[in-house]
Order: sequence, then C-alpha cells, then structure tokens
Amino acid sequence: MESTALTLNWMVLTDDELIHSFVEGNQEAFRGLVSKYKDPITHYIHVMIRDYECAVDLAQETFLRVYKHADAYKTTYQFSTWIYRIATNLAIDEIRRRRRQMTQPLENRRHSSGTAFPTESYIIDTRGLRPDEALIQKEKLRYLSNAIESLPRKYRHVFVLKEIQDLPYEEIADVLSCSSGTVKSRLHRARGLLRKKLAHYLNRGKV
Amino acid sequence: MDCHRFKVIIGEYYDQRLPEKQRLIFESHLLSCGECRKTLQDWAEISALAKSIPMTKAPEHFEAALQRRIMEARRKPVGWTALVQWLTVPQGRMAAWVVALMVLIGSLFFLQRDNKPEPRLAGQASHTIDNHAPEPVALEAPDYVNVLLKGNGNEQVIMRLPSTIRVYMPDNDDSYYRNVSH
Ligand SMILES: [Zn+2]
Repeated sequence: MESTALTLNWMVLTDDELIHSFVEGNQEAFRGLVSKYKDPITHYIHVMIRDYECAVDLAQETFLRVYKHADAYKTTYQFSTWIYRIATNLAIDEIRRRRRQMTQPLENRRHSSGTAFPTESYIIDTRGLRPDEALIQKEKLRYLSNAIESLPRKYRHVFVLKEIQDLPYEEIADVLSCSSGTVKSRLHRARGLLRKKLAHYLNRGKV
Repeated sequence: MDCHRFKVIIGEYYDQRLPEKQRLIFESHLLSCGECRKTLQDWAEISALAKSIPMTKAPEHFEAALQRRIMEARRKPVGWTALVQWLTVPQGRMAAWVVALMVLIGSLFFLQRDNKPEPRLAGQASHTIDNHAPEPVALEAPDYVNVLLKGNGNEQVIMRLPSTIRVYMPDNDDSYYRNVSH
C-alpha cells in the first residue's frame, strides 16, 4: 500500500508535525496519524463499550472527525488529548444510546451493530500459564471487565484513561474537561469501587 | 494510627505524585498500617489486571473503510448545507449579494408593471429549484440593471449588470478527490 520510505517518514514526525502537515494538504500525514492511533483508539473504545464492531465503527468516526476538523485543532492541547476527547464523546453518546434502548421494550431495540448486552470478546493470551492459572486469569479479566462496565460513567472514563491508556492526570483532565483535582478524586473513587466489586477475586490464584 | 488523614493522599502516593516530604511521612505510616498496605496491594493487582486486558487491534480493512467514509462525507452536500458552505467562500458571498440584488430589483420591476398578479392555485409554487438538477439556476430580469452610487445630490452608475446571471453551484471538488485517492 505505502512505500517503506513514506512509512518511515511519518514515524519520525511528532503528532503536532503530522497534523500541521495534514492541514497544509499532506494526505500522507493523515495516514501516519491513523496508523499511529488506530489501535489505541479502537482499544480504548472497545474497553468502554465492549462491542468490537461498534468500537471499530466509532474509531473510524473519530478519525473522520479529525479529518474534517483538523484545521480547528488547537495546539494548546496535545493531539492525543484531542483525539481521545473525540473518542470519549463518541463513546459517551453510544453508551447513552444503549442505555436508552435498554429501558425500551425489547421489540424496539436495535440489533444492527453488535450486541446490546456486551459479551466477552477479548482473546486472552494464556501462554506460559498452567491451565488452572489460565482459567483464573480469564475469570479475573472477565470480572474486571464487568466491574469496569458497571462503574458510573465519570469513574469509568477516568479509570480507563489512567490504568489502561496510561495518560497522565493533566491530560485526562483535558480530555474530560475537568480539573486534575477532579481526576484525582474520581480515580480514588473508581479504585475504591472496583476493589469492593472485585474483593472476592483479588489475591486469589497466588500461592 | 490516624489512617483517615492518609486516605486523601494514598491515591497520589500510588500514582507517584506525592512530593518527597509527604511521601516519606506516608511511608512511615504504611509501616504500621495494614489497612493502607492492603489497599495499595489491591490497587496494584487491579492495575496489573487492567494492563493485562489484551490490546484490541483495529481490523485489517480499517484504513480502506475509513477512506471510503471520508470520500462519502466529502461528496457534495445538498440543500442548505451546500449553500451555507458555498457562502463561506468569497465568490459565493459575492454571487449571493448579486442574486439578492437581482431578486429585489426584479420584484420591484414586476410589481410596477403588473399590479394584478395572476391568480394561482393554492399550494402551487411559482417556480421550483431542484437541488439535484445539474442545470445552473438562472434568474430572469430586465435587460440590464444599473447599480447607482448616490451622494452629494448626484448619482453615478458604478456597475451595469447583465439581465441574466447564471449561478453555478460547485459540483465536485475534483482536486480533492485526486488528492485523496492517490
Ligand atoms: Zn492507614
């Protein structure tokens, strides 16, 4: 698809350089951003809504918005902040839409994009584990995913952005348009809730 | 010990955001507080578990599908969106002014000439503009229209516009498509 030279070209550029180059008309720069962020963004949305098809769809929508509004991008934020913010808003809309559907009678629910009730769609790497360990690990992950999903939205976002996407407090604050102090207290609350929900499964599987 | 006080900073300790001095104070508390130690241990396990959630990968067709969506989105929008977009370019704005002027002058002209408008059936439109039609929109008006500049008691013709103005809506931005597809 692309030549090696072009692939290397965008890899040495920063996000800022790429987005500016794209705004100036360089389509290759946009492809660079897509290559760089398609997996993290898909993963992020997938963790939030646990429906792979839908996560891919929303990840594409995220990039479409980056494409359309690139000239509105402000350098006061990092590019990653901006793209996570778009993805977060799309995920929030989707979660709201699903919640509305769940309160509707069954026959009104839409079944087009994936399942309304999330199913386990992670493939877990169990290499190097004994079968019983692998089973426990799998079970724990399933409970963690369920627990994350059951968190109130504001706690869930903070937790996923911090613990899974590894963003610093300040960037999470920018993504969610709140203060670092709010991030701190929500994170504390999220961890507390998860700890309670997972109490039964923590410190198990270790001898 | 006074464990409650430390509940506020345990999170920052965990995320390694505590200043040195507070960190040392907290660590000395940890030596004697099993509850805080257990909290940190559980959090660490939750973090490790969260990090072990397998990384979802975008599918193979991601870029191709995205490209298709971008092309679709860039296809000529119809109706008001197109008009509004078009009005943001200088030529569009200029043409809009001219069209507005023509309509105004044209309607004055017809009102003067024909005071008895022909009866029309209710609901019958006088003319229809089809957004999808590729034909240019043409406005019929007098042979020409003078644009006058008035001031200091005299007036001066600054522009003479032709009777028919053809307004071409931009159909496709071809340069864009060439850009995207290769
Ligand atoms: Zn304590």
